[in-house]
Amino acid sequence: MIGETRAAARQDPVSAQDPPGPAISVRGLRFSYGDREVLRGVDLDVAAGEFVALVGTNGCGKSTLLRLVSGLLAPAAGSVRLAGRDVAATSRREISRRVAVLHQTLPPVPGLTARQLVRQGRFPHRGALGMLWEPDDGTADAAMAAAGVAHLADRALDTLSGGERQRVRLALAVAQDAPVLLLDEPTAHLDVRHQLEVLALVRELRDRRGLTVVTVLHELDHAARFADRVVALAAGRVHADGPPAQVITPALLAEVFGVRGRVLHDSGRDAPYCLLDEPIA
Amino acid sequence: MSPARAVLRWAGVVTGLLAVAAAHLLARGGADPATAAEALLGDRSGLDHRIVAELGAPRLVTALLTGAALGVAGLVLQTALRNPLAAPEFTGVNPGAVLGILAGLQSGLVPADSAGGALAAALAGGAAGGLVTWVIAGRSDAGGLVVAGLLGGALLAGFTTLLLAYQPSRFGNALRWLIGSVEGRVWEHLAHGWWWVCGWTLLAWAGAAALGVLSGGDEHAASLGLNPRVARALLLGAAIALSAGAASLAGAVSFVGLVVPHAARWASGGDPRRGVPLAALLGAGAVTLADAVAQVATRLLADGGAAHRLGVPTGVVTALAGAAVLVTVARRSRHLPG
Repeated sequence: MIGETRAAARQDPVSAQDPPGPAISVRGLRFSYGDREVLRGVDLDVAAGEFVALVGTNGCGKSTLLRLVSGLLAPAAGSVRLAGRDVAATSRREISRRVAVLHQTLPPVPGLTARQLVRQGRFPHRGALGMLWEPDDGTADAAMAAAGVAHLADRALDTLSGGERQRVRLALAVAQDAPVLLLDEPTAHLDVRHQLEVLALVRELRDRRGLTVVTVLHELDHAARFADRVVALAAGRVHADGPPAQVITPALLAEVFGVRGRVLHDSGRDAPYCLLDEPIA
Repeated sequence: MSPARAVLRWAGVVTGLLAVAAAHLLARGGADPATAAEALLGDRSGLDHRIVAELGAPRLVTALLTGAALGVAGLVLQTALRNPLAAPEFTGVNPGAVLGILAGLQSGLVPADSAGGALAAALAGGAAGGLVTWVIAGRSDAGGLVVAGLLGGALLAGFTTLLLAYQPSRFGNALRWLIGSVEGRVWEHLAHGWWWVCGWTLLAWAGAAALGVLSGGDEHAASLGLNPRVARALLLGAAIALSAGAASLAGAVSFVGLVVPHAARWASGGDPRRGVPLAALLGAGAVTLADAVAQVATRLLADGGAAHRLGVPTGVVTALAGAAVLVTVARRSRHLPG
C-alpha cells in the first residue's frame, strides 16, 4: 500500500496509469451537518480541462460539495472519484497532489510573505526528509509569474489588496501543481475590476495548463461569461446542469433563487446576462 | 532578502548571543575576561578559574538551554494553536511541570539533585497540566484557550500551594522552582537537559515546514496534504517536551516563552523554518541576559550590606522585563499582540 502510494507519487498526477474517466466523478453523494441533510444524492461528472461554475443559494451545499470532492469531508453515502481513483481510499497527501483548493478565507498569518505562502504549495510534493531542506526548484517563482504576482513576492500578505491576495493564492494553487483546481467564491469581497481580473486569470490558467476548474460563484453573469458549464444546486441535488445559455434562464432565477428576472443575450460575448427585478413574494 | 544580507543578519544574532554569554560569565564578578577565557580553554590553576569552569559555565549553559527551550516551545504553541497568547505558562504546561517537580521532590520519588528525575517529573507534570487545560478548554476558540490555560494554571498553582502548606519547612527549596532560577546549577544538573533540549529543538525545526502550513488554518493544511490534528498533536508534544525540559533545568521562568516568539516572528516573517532557530537563539539570549542582570543585582544587594548573600532569581528579572514589554506593546497597539 505504501509502496503503491510512492509509485503513484513519482508519476505525473495525470499519468497514463490512471484509469481513464472524467477528472471528477461524483455519484449519489449525500452529506449532513448533524440533522440537516445538505446534499441528498448529487451526481456530477467533470471532464478534464472543463471550467464549471457551481451556483445556488447560500447554504445549498456548494462549499460542502467542494470539500467532499477534495476529501476534506467524508460523505455519508456515495462516492467521489478523481481521474477514476476513489478519494476515500486515497491518502491526504496524494489527494493534495491531485486537487488544489482555494478556500473562502485564509486566516491571516502576520508577516507571511507572498513567496513564503506560495512555496507552501510544494509541501505535498516533499518527502519526509524534505521537510527541512527543501530544494528551491523555482516552481514557486514560476507559479507567481504565471499568476502575475512575481513583483509581490517579498510583500507581506497583510499589506496586499484583496485582489492581489487572491492572485497570490492562485499562485499557491499553481505551485501545488495539481490537475484539478477547486475555488470557493474566489471573487468574494472583491471590487468589480478585481473580480474580472481573478476570473480571467483562472481561465487563463485553465487554458495554458489544462486545469480542470470547479468554482463556486454567486454572480451569475460571471458564471455565464467565464464558465463552459453551469451547475445549479438546489434542495441538495443538481437542479440544472449544462452550458450557461441553457441553465441560466428566468425559470432558474425563479425556482432556485426565488427572484423574478429577465435573461438577455449578449451577442458580443455570446453569453446570457441577467436583469434581476425583485424577490418573488 | 538577498542571501548575503540573510547571512549577515544571522551572524549578527549569533554575535549578539556570544556577547551576552560573555557578559553573563563576567557578571558574577571575581573573574576578569582573561581568567574566564583561560578557564573555558581548560585552565584550572586558580580558584577563579575553577569558579568559572564549575559554576559560571554550567550556569551559563543552563540559561542558554532554558531560554532556547522556552523560545521554541512558545513559538510552536503560538503557531500551532494560532494564538498569540499561547505560551508555556498560559497553557498549563509550565505550572504543571513545576508542580510535577515539587511533588516528585517532596514525595521522595525524585531524589534531590537528580537531573533525570527532575526531567521525568517535569514531563509528567507538564503533560498533565496541558491535559487539564485541554479538558477545560473543550472545543473553545483561541481566546477560550488562554482563559482555560489561566484557569488550569491557577488550579495547578493551587495544588502547588497545598503541597507547600503541607510541608512549609521545604518552602525555601521550592522557591527556586516557583520563581525560576539557574543559580547553583552545575554540570551534573545538565546531564540530560542538554540533549533533551537540543534534540527537541532540532525536531521542532524539522517540523517547521508543517508548522508553517498549519499556521494557515486547518483547511489550508489539509488541502496541502497535512493532517492538521496529527500534526498539531505532534507539535504540541514537542512544545510540552521543551517546556518540561526548561522547567527541569530552571523552574518556572516566565514571559520568555510568551515574548520571545513574537520577536522571532517579527524578525523572521511568517516562516517557521527561520522562526524556530531564531526563537531558540533569542530565547537563549533573553534568559542569559536576564540572569546576567540577576547576578549584577545580587552583587549590588550584597555590596549594599544585605547580610545574607541574597540571590536574585532569574525568573524575577524575566517577569519584570516581560511585563514591561507586554505593557508597552498593549499601550502602543491598543490591542494585544498578534
